[in-house]
Amino acid sequence: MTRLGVTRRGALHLALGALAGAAGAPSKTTRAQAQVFRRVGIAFGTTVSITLEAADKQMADAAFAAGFTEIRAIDRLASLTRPDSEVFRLNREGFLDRPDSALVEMLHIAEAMHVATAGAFDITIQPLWLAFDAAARRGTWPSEAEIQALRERIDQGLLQVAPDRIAFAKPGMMITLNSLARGLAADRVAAALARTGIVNAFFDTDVLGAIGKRPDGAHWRALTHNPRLPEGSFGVADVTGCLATSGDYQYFWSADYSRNHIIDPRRGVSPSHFSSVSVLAKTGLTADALSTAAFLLDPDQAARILKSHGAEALFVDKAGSVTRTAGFPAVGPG
Amino acid sequence: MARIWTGLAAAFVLACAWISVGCAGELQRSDLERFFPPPCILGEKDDVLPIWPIFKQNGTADELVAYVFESVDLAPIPGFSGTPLDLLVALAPEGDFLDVKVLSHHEPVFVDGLGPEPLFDFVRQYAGKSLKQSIRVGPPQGGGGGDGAAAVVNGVAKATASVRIVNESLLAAGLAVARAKLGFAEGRDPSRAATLRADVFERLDWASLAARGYVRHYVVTNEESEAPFAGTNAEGLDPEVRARPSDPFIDLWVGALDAPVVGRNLLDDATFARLISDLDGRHALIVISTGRLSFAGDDFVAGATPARLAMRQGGAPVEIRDFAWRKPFILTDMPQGDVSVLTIKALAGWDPASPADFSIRATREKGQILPERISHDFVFPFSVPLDLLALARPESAKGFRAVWLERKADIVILTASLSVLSLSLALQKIVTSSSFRFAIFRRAFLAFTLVFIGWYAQAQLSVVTLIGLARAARGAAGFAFLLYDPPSLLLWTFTLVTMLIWGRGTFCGWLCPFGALQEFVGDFARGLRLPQWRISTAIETRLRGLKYVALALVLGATLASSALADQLAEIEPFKTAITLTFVRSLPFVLYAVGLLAVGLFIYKFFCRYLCPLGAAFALVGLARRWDWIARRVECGDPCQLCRAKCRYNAIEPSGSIIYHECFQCMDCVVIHNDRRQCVPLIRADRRLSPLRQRKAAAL
Repeated sequence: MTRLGVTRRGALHLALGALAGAAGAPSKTTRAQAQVFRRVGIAFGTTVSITLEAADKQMADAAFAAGFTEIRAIDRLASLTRPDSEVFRLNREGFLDRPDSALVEMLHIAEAMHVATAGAFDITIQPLWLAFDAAARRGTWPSEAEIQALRERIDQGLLQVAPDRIAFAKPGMMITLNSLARGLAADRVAAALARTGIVNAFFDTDVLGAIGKRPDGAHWRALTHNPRLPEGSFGVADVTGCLATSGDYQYFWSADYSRNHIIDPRRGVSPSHFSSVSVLAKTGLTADALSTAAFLLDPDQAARILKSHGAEALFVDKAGSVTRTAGFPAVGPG
Repeated sequence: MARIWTGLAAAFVLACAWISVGCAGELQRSDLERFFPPPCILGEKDDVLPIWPIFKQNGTADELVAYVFESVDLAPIPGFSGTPLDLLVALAPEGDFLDVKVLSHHEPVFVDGLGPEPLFDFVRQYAGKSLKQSIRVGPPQGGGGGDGAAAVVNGVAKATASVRIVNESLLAAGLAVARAKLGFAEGRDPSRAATLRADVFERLDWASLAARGYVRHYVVTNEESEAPFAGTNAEGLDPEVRARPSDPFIDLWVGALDAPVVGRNLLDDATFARLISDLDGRHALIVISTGRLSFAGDDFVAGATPARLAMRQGGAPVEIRDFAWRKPFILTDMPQGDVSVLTIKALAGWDPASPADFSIRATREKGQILPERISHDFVFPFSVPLDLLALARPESAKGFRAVWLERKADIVILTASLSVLSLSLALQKIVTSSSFRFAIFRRAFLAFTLVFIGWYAQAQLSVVTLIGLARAARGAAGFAFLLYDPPSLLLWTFTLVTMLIWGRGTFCGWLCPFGALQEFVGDFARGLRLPQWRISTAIETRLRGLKYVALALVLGATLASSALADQLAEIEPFKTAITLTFVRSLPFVLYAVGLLAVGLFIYKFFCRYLCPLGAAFALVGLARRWDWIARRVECGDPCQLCRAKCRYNAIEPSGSIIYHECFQCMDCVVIHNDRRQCVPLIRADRRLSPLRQRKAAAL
């Protein structure tokens, strides 16, 4: 019997530290008159949150409204199940006229990643994901021949992207933006908060992002989860910019995580190097895309692609040993 | 005199004003934060539905513990006041009710009298019950409980219909949230969907399956496929239309594969058993396409929703998904083509007992580069033959159907008694032939009205229903609330019909429990020979006007505010005397008893002068078809016997009946037919008798 498992996608959470107990109610801070507010919501099928420092409740409410509006917009755009989502329509119809600029932005990044990873990163993987998921739910697994047949329609090169029209060159293709949308949402939140005058904030769109500093003047910090221990962690790390994690434990179809949601389209199996990769980058979109890309590559290739994008990463391999790039902040007790 | 009464009525209105009533209105974040204080974290309101997530911190993660919503936003089912109740509901992601609170309600029985406490107690029972169960309202003193699949909440005595509406509101609102957010109950209430019978089987070939409708067949020929594109840019683009006009463009078969008569004919028994076990309670449809336009095609993805095929039921899409079922079919004469086994995602996404639609999308392309696409959906009706269905068990039925089933006995008794009454009124000559026997019959019927209709069946018609109707008519609510109270609905219907035949008296004089109570009080007074206050015609006329003022006030208040109308409706002592059998707070009891006491000296005081419902019926009764109370030329001139005997002052000095004030006590009908009472008859008899004639001559 195959075990199905779903855990929260993010491996890293906001380490509340000084904010512990600050659920909803504002807490006094060291800076004069500033208060910390927190708002939680649901998007991308998981919990998202924004924590920010504001002069008063009114300012905080305005910032929350702006931030959640951005999250909602990206969630709606990229949803695989909502009939009003552009991705849903594209997958159903095979084409989409006048796509939203956010969708085009994500597809351009996807194109660059596809090229940079020699085809490992491929957002047209969705038909294979669906087939795996449907089979696993029935306790079976597609045969090699079935997988090969499905791979015929997986090729991001067959995705035609123009500013006024997106189309599949082959019938039966489908895309997923699950490796990009949360990152873009983090970037949009950062911009929205800045627009409403927020200087210091931490947000979790399933990709973690920070602007400014914590109220006590320290860096925002995040907890690094141990991918093999649901409640365990390696400690906390400072976060500047955005932090995204891809892991085999987040959605899997076999008890040993060997069949999981990240699939290498070139072979039709999940990669075997890492159990999780956390990437720290300037933008959420880059961090999100790179974490999936690095997960799909072998350690050397992963290091190269991270370097070329100026990003840092924390790797946990299948054996559980942890390595990090030179610039990744130290992980230690919170 | 009239001025005094008007003054009293106004004072009464003011006296009612202190009765406090809950307030409605959409809750804001700050209100909800009060209901769910820390450690609960009130999340960001959903962008589609008016629901709020509630989180609790678990370690460093925010854990979703509930969705919170107001029932009125999702299921505004009007109560007996015509206004929907508003309940604050906290629903766990697994479908369990965590907490239910009453935010506002105008249910007459709970506004005062029983008081709101029983309602609060009632909704408290939902905590811990699950939407995945079939929750129904049981008897008031029941043990509650139920099992995994069914749950029973204890009803509230004297408020059966109201708490059923509460149950409906809760379930409808909860299911709306479950469908959207919890991933189950999509489409409809699981407990109301029919199931396929496992015991219907017969060895049949494909042709017989099709002939009996177990698999449905749809064909659209090439020629027919052209029609929807006529006049568009895609007209004439399909060369096959001309080349082979009568060949099939769409040739589609659809059947319920999990029905044994289909599945066990198509699959061997072991494979069928495997299918049923894999389906895990879901339904499976087999779809076969042999036409040019298939549901499959190049873009078909195993395990996904077929892009061209869609299923709808009751206006809502039914989510179908390829089951990636690749086992061989054994039926030899099965059509050969694209085959897919589709499942319906949620356990109850589709009710096999209701009709559904399938549609296949045909798309034509014009042009080479960036072709223009023109689509048309060909729609086919799909239904499962009745002999394959096990309809939802009646005991698990909900809503008004359950109420009707449960009150079957009451409905039968009431219908029978109404038939007796209609017959008696129609055959009044025979019924009234003996004044003694008629008096017995009338007292017996009034006792039935008071005890059965009033106290037992709780079917006292009330102006509160009129308020509800007025609100419904203004579009503020629907009329469905009437269906939750079958005896009342039956009485309303009967009253409306008889009003057009015999006038308002059929209800007021025979079927109104409070009226019956007053009549007994009047009989009691007569027995004691208490002095009766005869009122002069001039004052009588003014007093009668009061009830129209009361009606106007009540209905006028309906336009202004629900609360005021509810309070004004308390001019009726019905709730106190009948619904709650005088178990109510002192001012109300004093008022009702006071009215009855006045009735000792002024016969049926409330009915004749104050009752707003009677006023409404009197107005409708003006449309009555015929003057059915027989009169003689002597009536009024010279004979005034009936007029003098009429305890309602409903006979003019001229002898004609004032029907809108007539309560159909039949006293005058009895007199009219009685040779020993009716003066003109006695006189005529005297004239006819030779002995009397001689005597008269001698005089």
